Amino acid sequence: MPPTAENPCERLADLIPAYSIGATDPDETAFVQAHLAECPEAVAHLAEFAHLAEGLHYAAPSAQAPTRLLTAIRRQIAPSPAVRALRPVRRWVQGIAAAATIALIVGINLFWAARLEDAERRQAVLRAQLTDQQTALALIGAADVQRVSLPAINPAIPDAPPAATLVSAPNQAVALLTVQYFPALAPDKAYQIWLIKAGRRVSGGLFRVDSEGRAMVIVRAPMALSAYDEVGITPEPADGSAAPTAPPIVRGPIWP
Amino acid sequence: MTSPSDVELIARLAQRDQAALTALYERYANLVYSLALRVVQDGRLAEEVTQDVFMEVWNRPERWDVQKGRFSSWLLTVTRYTAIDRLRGERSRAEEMPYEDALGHQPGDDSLSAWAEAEALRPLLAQLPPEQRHVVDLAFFQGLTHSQIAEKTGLPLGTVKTRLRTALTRLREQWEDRGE
Repeated sequence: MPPTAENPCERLADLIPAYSIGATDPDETAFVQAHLAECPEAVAHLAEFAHLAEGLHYAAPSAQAPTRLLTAIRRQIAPSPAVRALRPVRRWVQGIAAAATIALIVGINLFWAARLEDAERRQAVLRAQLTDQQTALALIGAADVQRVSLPAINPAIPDAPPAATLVSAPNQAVALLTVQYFPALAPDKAYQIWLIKAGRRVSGGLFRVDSEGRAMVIVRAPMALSAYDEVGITPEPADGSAAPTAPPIVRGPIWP
Repeated sequence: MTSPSDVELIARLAQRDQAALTALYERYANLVYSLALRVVQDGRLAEEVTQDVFMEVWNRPERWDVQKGRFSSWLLTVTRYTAIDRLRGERSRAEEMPYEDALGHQPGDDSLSAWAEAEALRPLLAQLPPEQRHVVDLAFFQGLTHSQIAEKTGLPLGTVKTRLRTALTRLREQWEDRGE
């Protein structure tokens, strides 16, 4: 059901409890992600329910793990000559996979994962989404959190220019980025976030947008965000670039 | 001698230190297994989930960092979704297993503050009206969304949403009140 003229913050308040445990349907999840940054009360509300969600993980009845499990795990991690020979390559591949998951959209349910056919990758995506959400919740609970809008640079459609909002705190190395009206990209492309200090750029992660040009992303910086002045977003190859290869979609100061 | 912190153990995993994984296992295996068992309701499946989770930690220790909050919470989040995934796979091959409420068991390893905190949550969960507890169970422990719960239970979608929202709000308020 499309959003109506109702106050989105009121609908958000209704959805936050279910969203916090991943029980919202895809359209509801998209609605929460699209409007969260503009509803400060909902952000606080979400932080409260996230605490409950965390507690529920510990609320399962206690059971004793069978001792044979540790034996099985030890057997599985014991290095064999073949495994040792493969390890450097395998870890390199894992590194690429980890880099790809950095770009994952925040959200608990299967909205994105359902689009991926490979079961193992889907599972990795789900896990990364959850850990990213935990990161986002920790961030939005920070006392010195600030919010800035990043202006579009030469938008192709002036009436609906790409828009981005960054929620960050100076002493954190992560930030929450929401975007909308971003142009769709070819499958071999992704958007790359750049953190800028005195003309030097470092990558803050990769992401893709949904069919309506929206995304919510965790930005990861090598150091606390107070070390940077600006942030920009450019379209790049899906694996990312060492430096921007295209003009920015949006760019602006990190701090108000 | 103080035992190494989670941060130290995770750092040692990056060096492929098997003793570090053993230490993490001994610290958290019961937590992980308990949650896995709560979701899949089958001992053998819960063992598989537990093994998968610790292998994930072994293979990708970099997936967790301090900024993501406490390690045990991250570990349990991974556990929950691994278990839900496994449950969905099993459902395609077998009839759904009956929900058996085993609330009231004593925790095995009570050294964790979060676990101790959840001590208060456990009875509150059990005290929810059955219809509310059921939707929390379907949503949180079985990973179903609003519409999936409505489809599964035959309840109107609006009723499902109201019940889940009411139950979670009630849990949160009562849990917070007990801490005051």
